Amino acid sequence: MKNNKLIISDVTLRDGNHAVSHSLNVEVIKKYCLEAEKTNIKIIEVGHGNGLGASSLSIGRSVIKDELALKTARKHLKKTKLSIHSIPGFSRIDNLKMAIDCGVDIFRLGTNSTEVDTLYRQIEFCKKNKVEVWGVLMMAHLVYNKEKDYLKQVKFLVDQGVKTIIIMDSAGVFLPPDIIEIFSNIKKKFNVQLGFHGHNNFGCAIWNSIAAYKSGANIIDASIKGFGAGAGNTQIDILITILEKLNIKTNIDINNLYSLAKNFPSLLKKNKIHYKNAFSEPKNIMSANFGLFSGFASKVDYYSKKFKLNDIEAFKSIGEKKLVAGQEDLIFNILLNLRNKK
Amino acid sequence: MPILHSAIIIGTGKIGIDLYIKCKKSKIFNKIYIFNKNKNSLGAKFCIKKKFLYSPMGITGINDRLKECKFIFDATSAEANIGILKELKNKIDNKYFINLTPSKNGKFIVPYTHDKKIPNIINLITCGGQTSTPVITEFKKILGNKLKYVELVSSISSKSAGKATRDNIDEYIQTTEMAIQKLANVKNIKVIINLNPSEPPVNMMNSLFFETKNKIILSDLKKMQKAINLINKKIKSYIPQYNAKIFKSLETNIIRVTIRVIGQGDYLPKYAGNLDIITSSAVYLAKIINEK
Repeated sequence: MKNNKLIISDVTLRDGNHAVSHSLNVEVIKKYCLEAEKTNIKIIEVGHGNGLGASSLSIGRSVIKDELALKTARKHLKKTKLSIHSIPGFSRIDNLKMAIDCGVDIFRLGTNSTEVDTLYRQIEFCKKNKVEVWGVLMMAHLVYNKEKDYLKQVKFLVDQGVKTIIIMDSAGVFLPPDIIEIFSNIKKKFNVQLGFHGHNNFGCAIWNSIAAYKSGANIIDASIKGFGAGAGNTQIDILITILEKLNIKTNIDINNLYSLAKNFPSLLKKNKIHYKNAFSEPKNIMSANFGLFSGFASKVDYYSKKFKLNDIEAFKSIGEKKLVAGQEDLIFNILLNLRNKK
Repeated sequence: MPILHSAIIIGTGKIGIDLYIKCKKSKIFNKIYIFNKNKNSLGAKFCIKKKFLYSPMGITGINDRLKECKFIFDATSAEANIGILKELKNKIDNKYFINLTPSKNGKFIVPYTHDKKIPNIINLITCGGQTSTPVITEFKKILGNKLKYVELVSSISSKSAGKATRDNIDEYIQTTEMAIQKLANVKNIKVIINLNPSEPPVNMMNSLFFETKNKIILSDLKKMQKAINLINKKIKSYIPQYNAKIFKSLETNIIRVTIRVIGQGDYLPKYAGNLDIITSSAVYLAKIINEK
């Protein structure tokens, strides 16, 4: 089978921030970057869980400023590329300027898949500044339908001159056949580099990633031990092992990768950050079933505990309100209502 | 009984037509003229069908009617607004030019909080700004220097976000932050906007967070509740389904306010409270100018 070279993009220090309420600090970023570089990972993404400029009361505050996080990573990454996630509405052009000054290599501009045109200005800005710009279709299940709406969104990005597009399964709801269909259809129509970002709510992140690769993607987002929002991301240590078994080359040093995985919990513990292994609890399964953003999990957990609610019921009530990524502010109100009804 | 003045509406998009209907309903205008440049547009066809005082003559037509009108409402686009204002600038000294486009022209005005002399070129800010500034202004008065940080998160339905909003999310945030800083005298403000694609479309919803240096004291909280009641009462007079609610958060130094805005359903759909608050504010503003 002909395929292009596979690139692993490590999202531990960005998506993982969701799992620890955006508390990854300078020390963690530094140590992680130093160790991760030894594995030959090509790209490391750093930042608040919702990306640039998203540190806020509604989503959660980062313990460090975006600028410090990026400068720290930049300083400790020699050959690894540094990337950021940016969602217009949270991030502004000013934030992008700052990121350029910090030496970020790859600008991943993302939005909920139904609103891709909101990326227009940031794409223009990146193009003008000659930085590498990728388009990210977040909550891609929103445009996975009979009409194949995802093709329209991809076309918009391609027409804007975007050459790399990441399909993000933010809700962790896709199954391998969905992935094969989406990637093959995009590949058939567009000459564009594709990537996949998985979440593991249905236990499919690994095989979705491999299916994406086999259907034409050559960038896979993954994180150490699956550390990420909700049920977690594609587990990088498993992914690489399986890829090797399948004779798919990545150039990643597997031994260094295993030691990175092994040491990761203690790195967090040393920094007094509460570490929990990524796992899909019933509430995460429920969350995916409703097509909810994985990043909601920590907020829902927090308020369910405070309001003494059954967390599965809590996810259900949020699912009924059809919130999308970014609407974390309303979780409080919905769950408060649910409590008051009792 | 105040004298009835005439008005010009520029633009036959959804905002222009909704505004026309609201102007008519308000009964505070003598004649209402509506202009655009393309008689084949959907909006123009609607105007003709409904027998509005419509003309496709654009700026020439406007110039002919200018003398008899006191109000000019610009419901075009940010780009068009710049050209229109350039053309009309020297001819509107004793008139009111109300800018409903997202361009930066004109002085930021929220009818609720405005008590000084009303300038003749008026900017109605953004939906988030128009909705939240009254609450932020009143809370700032109550909390003074104790107020450390304010955050506004607005969610609007995807269907109600036009091309102008989508292309200019950055400007939306900048303009909203700038206007709130200016009008409410709050330094530290963060504005976030979300588009929700759900069907049926969601109503416009806003969350406000007020963070203070120390624990919020009961007497301040009582004042804030009172302020909210007053704001609701006053704003409901021009947009009946404006509903602000105050919530104690789980943190002792953070107060939350949610504001749901449901439109009047004149021409714009009810869920587009984000657009309705702009057209409603425009008409209300004309009303208070008339009463002065």
